[in-house]
Amino acid sequence: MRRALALVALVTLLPATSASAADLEGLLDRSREASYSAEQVISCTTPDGVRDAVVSLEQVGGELQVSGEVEVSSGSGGWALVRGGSVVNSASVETGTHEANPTYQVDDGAEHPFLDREAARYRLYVGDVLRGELVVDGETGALLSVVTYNADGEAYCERRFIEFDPTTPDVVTPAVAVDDAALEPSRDTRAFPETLGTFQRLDIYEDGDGLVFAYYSDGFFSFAVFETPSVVELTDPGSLTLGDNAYSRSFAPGQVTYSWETRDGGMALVGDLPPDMHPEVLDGLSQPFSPGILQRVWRNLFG
Amino acid sequence: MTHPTEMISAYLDGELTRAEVSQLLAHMDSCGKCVADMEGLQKVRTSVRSLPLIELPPGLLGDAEPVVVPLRRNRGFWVGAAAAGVAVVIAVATVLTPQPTQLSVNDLNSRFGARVSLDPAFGPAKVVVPDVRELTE
Repeated sequence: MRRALALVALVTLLPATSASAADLEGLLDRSREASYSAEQVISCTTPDGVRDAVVSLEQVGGELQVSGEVEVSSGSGGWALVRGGSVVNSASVETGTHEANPTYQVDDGAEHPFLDREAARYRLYVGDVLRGELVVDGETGALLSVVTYNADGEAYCERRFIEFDPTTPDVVTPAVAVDDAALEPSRDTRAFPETLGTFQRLDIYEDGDGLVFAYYSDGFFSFAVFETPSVVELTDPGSLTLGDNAYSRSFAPGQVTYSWETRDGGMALVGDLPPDMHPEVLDGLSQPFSPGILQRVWRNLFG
Repeated sequence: MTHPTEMISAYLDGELTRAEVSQLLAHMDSCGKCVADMEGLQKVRTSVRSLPLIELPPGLLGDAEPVVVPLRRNRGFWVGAAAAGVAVVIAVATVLTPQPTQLSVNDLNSRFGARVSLDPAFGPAKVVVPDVRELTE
């Protein structure tokens, strides 16, 4: 089911407007089917400093496993965090019916040997602005390197394999069965505009904790916007000020998290979009609001 | 014209607030009657205070219990009492009100990760790892 959905979405995201785009679609599809072990470096240059990390990846037959202190098992329509062999958090998701409009143009590709392997480099553009660069392994189709860019041409995040073994890993943790009821599609659209900048809302979810979130994508970058009962506290946060509005934010390797208080509770944003896209997206959401103590008491008492 | 006779007495007793003093003095700038009243009251007080103290003979009051006669209460008392009451209500409400569920960044990450795992671009390019080895460590 997941692969079928992915294929449908890929057809939409990368329309066959040229032979190269069709080739890239095939390569991306192959990349999910490749079996390999790899060590990946993630390095992001953010306004708050460099954020980097190393992760180990194992992929077999479309199942991707990421190992750190916490293991991430994904695929089969779900996603789970595993610590010490036990599932500490999991979710099952089903995409909505909306599809993102194609935003990116893909060039014809060029040979680009990587880790002494035959590979091809493809560049993604919005108009004349370079936004992404993919290096695809010729033999397996695995994505060996992905670089994303700010609008000014400066690299934002680089994810690069530093070790790559294209043989099937000997030991792969079986996919974790996830709770089908963890997330339910929602029709509550009040806090989530249909579009934010060039991003389109694809679907909305809610769960039993009173947390509602919407998923947005422009076909390459993506983020989720959360409506939360209370403000999510970030660890050692930085800030972004837009006009009179101040947002707390925290960069991690490969992603950014924003959090702010609103009239109704809190909102947060988690995604991989480059910093130059943040203001336009945040401007389209509920503005930060700092209630007085009596308003807080009233809100706590009566919602 | 209304003359603030009570305020004059309270003023001489030092019981007025600053605002009330300003109000009274402003009135007296244009009211000779109140000025005269205050001078008269001041003289009476001075005269009373200059009288010699006489010790009462024992037994004159019998076994009468002392009675506390309340002085004129200042408005500040009520303002303070109201503020204290509001503070108590806020404190009680804050303590007794169940706080909204506290979410962590990992709560958000797990849900974002769940959704992004179905993204067509998911793979090494989209992996969300909440806890990884830092290169700088």
